[in-house]
Amino acid sequence: MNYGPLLFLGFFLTVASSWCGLVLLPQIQFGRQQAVKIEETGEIYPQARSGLAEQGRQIYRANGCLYCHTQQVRAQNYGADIARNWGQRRTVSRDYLYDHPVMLGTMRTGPDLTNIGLRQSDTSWHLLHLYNPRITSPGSIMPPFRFLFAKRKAGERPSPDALKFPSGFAPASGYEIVPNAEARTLVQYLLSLKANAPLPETK
Amino acid sequence: MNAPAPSILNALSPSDIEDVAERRAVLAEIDASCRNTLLLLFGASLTWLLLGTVFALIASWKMHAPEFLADISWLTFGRVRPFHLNAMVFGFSTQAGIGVTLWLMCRLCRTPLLYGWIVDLAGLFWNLGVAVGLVGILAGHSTGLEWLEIPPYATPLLFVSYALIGMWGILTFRFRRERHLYVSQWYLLASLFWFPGIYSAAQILLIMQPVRGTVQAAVNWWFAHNVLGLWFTPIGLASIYYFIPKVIGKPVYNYSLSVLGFWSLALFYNWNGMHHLVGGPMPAWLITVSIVASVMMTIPVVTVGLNHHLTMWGNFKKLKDSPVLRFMVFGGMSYTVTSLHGVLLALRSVSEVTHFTHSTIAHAHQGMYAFFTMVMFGAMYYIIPRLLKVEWPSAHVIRVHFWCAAIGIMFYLVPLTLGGVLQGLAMNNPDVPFLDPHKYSVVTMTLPYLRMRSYSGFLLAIGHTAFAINFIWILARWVKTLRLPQLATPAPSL
Amino acid sequence: MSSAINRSTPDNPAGKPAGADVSLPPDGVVDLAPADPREHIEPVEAHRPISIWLVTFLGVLLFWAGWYVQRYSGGYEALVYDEQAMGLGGAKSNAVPVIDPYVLGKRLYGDTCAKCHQPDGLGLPGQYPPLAGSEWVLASGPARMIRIVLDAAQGPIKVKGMEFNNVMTPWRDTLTDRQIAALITFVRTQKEWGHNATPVTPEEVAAIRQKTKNRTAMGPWTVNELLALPENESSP
Repeated sequence: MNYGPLLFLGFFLTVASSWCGLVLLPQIQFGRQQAVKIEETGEIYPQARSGLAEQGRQIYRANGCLYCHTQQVRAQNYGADIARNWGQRRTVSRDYLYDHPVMLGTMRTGPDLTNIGLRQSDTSWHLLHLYNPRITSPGSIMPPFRFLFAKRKAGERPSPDALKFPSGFAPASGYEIVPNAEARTLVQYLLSLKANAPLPETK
Repeated sequence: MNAPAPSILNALSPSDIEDVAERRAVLAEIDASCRNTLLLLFGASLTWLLLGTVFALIASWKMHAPEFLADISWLTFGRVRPFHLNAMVFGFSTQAGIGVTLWLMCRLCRTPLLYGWIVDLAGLFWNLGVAVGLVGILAGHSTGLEWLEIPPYATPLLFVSYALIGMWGILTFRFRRERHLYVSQWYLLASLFWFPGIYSAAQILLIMQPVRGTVQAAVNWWFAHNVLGLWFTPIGLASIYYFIPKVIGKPVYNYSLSVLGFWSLALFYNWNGMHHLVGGPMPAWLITVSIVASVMMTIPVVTVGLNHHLTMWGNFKKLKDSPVLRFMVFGGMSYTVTSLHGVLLALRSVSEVTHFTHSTIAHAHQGMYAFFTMVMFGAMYYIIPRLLKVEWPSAHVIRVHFWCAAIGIMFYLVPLTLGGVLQGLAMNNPDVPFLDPHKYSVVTMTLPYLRMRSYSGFLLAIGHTAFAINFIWILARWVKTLRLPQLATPAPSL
Repeated sequence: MSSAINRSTPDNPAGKPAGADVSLPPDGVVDLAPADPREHIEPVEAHRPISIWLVTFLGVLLFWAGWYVQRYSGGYEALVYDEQAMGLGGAKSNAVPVIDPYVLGKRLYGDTCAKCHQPDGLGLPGQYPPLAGSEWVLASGPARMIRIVLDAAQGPIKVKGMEFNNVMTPWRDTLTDRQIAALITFVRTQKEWGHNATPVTPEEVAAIRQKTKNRTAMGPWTVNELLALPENESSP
C-alpha cells in the first residue's frame, strides 16, 4: 500500500464516521432538549440550581466525588437501582440539562447520589458524614473531608453551626468543629440532587 | 524431508552481501540521529511512570484505609486518582508511545530523525503541560471530565507540543526513502493523525463551547475510548508487528490479515465509546450502536491475534533468550484477552453486573498495562541499547522487571476482576445491604480484593524501579564510552 | 487457493510446500544491515490468502450486527431509553414485582433509615435514637410511627430512657404508601431485634397520609404532639 493521500482519506473517514454517529447525531437529536412542565405538579423540570448549590457542585467536581459515586439511575428490573430506592424511576437525558460538566460517574464504590437530596435531607447528617464518614456510616471507606471544616476554640456556648457529635467522636473539650463555606455549599448541592419528577418519557 | 521455514537470508546471493555494510551504516545513522531526542522522551516518560506508580499506590491504599494521608486536601482520593490516570496516560504512556513511534517511523521510512529539535521542543512543551495540568488537578482544578481532567490553562501547552509532533510526522513521511509502507506504519500514521483530532474535538465540545446535557457524556466517552482505541492500541500493535518478526527473524504471517485487521479496527473501534454508558441516560439506539461495534471488534482482534500468533508459531522457544520478545508476546496475548473480555463486557446482560464495579478498573489496566505498557517496556528494552550502542548492564535486573510486572499485573487483574463481578452481583441483589460492617455488604466484600490490588501494586513498583535502575545504569555506562578514543567506538553520531 | 492436502508442521502451519507462497516484496529490497550484528533483517510481510472461515465469520457477525441494531434501537427515537421497545409507546419492562412487605422493607431500610438509625437499629448515642427495642416502634398500634415516617420528628424526645434532640428527614414526598408500610412492617417485626409487633398495610398509611395532609406546613412532629395522639388509629 503506497497511496499516502488515500490512506489519510481512510483515516479521516473512519474517525469522522463515528464522530457523526456518536457526537453529531446525538447533538442534533437531543442536544437542544428543553425543560418541560410536569402535568402532575405544574412545575417546570428541570430547574437550574441555586447559586449556592452550583458552587457546591464545583466542590464536588474539584474533589473528584464522581470517582466513587454515580449520578444515574438504571431502569427498573435492570440492576437493582430502583429496588434499592436510589430512585423511583430511571434517569433520562433531560435530568442533566443544566449540568456542566455532566458527572454521571462510572464507579459505585459508594451509593448512587442522583436522589440523595430526597433520601437524606438533613444538613447536619451530611456535615457529620463529610467530616468523618465513619461517624454516621461505620465501615465506610469514604475519605474524610475534614479539610472542609475548621477546628476552633469553643466559646461559652457552642456556635449555632458547630457540628453536634455523637458520644465518642466529639473533638477535645474546649474545641468545636465548624463547616467552611465549601462544606456548606457542597451540602446544598447534595440536597439539590433530586430526579423524581414524572417526565413524559419515563412513563 | 521438511525444509526449514523460508528465511529471507537464505534467498540472497553473495553479491547482495556487499551492500550489507552500507545498509548497516544506514540503520546506525538512523539510530544515532534518534538518540538524544528519544533519551529525553524515554527519560521523561520513565519519570512519570515512577511518579504515577507512587500515586497509584497512594490511591489504592486509601481505598481500604481511608484515613491514610487523609488530612491533606491535595492528596484526597478524588484528586490522587485522576493524577495517577493522567500521569500514566499523558505523562508515561503517551511519551513512551511517541518515542517508540518516532523510532519505528524512522527505521521503517529508512530516514534519520529529521528536524530533531522540533521533537525536543515538543517534548519540553508536553512535559510542561502535563506537569502544570497535574499540579492543577491536585489543587482542585480538575475539569470533572474523565480522561480530560487536565485544566484548560495547561492544554494549550499540550496543543503546541502536539502541533510540533504532527509537523514532524508529516515531514518525515514526506521525505521517506522507503516507498513500501509496512503494516506498522499504517497504524502509526493513523494514530498520529487520529489523536489530535479526537483531543481537539473533545476540548472544543466539552470545555470551550460545551454541548448541553448528556451529549457531553457522549462526547466524553467517544473521546476517552478513542484514546485507547485510536491512539494507544495502534502504537501497541505497530510495535508488536515490528518487534516480533524482527526479533525472531521471520516474516509476518499474512499481509492480507494485516490489511483486514487494520481497516476493521479503524472502522469499528471508534464507534465503541457508548459502551461506557450502558444502562445510562442515553437513547437506546446510541447504546445499541456501540454494543454492536464492540462485538464487531472481534474481527480485528481475532485477525491481529491470529497474525501475531501464527508469526510466532514454532518460535516460542526464542522467548527464553529474548526479554523483548517476552514483553511483546505477553502484551500481544493480553491484547487479545482484554479485547475479547471487552466484547463480553459491552453486552447489556454482562454490563448489568460489571458496570460500576472494580471489574471495569481491572479491565482498563489489562489494556493499558498488560498490553500497552508491557509492549512499551519491550520496545524500550530493544531501542535504548541501539541508541547508545551499549548493552543493558544487567540481564538479571531485566528479568526482575519482567517477572514483577507480569506476576504483579496478574495479581492485580485476577482478584479485581473476580471481586468486581461479585461486587456487581451483590449490588444487583437488593437483599444485600450496601454498607453493613457486620454483614456481607457491597462495600465490605470488596475489601480483600482491594487489598490484593494494593499488594500487587508493590510488585509492579519493584518492576518499575528495576527498569529505572537499569536505565540510569546504562546511561552511566554510555557516558563512560563517550570518553573513549573515537576510533574504538562504532559509527559516529550526527 | 488449492486445497491440496499437505501436512502442516509448526514451521509451516499452512501446510504448503516450504517456500511456495511466501513472496518477497516486489523490488526485493530487504535490509540486511543491522546496526547490531545480531539484529535480524527489517521485518517484512508474507503473502497468503485469507482463510475462508475468517471471511465467513465476518459475514455472520455483520449479519448479526444489522439485526441487533434494527431490533434494539427503539425506533431510533431520542426519547426511547428502553431497548426492548420497538419505538415510542413500545413494550416497557417496568413491571414492578410483587414482594413480601418484610423483604421490601428490609431492602429499603438500608438506604433510607439505616443512614441515621444504623443497620443494627441501635442509632448513634446522643445523635440518632435507636429503633431496636424502642417503645415508639413497639407501641400497640402504628399510628404515631406512621406519622413520624411521613412528616418526621424534631426536638427533645426520650427513647429507651435516653435523651435525643435532633431533626429527622420526612419521607412523605419520597416514599409511597406501599414503601412506608413495608418499612414500618420490617422494623416492627424485625426478628433480629426481637420485635414482634403488628405489621402495617399500605391502606393504613394512606389513611393517615390523607388525615395529615396539611402537616407539612406545620413542620415535623414534636414529642408532645405525638403523645397527645392515641397509639391506635380507629379505622375511619
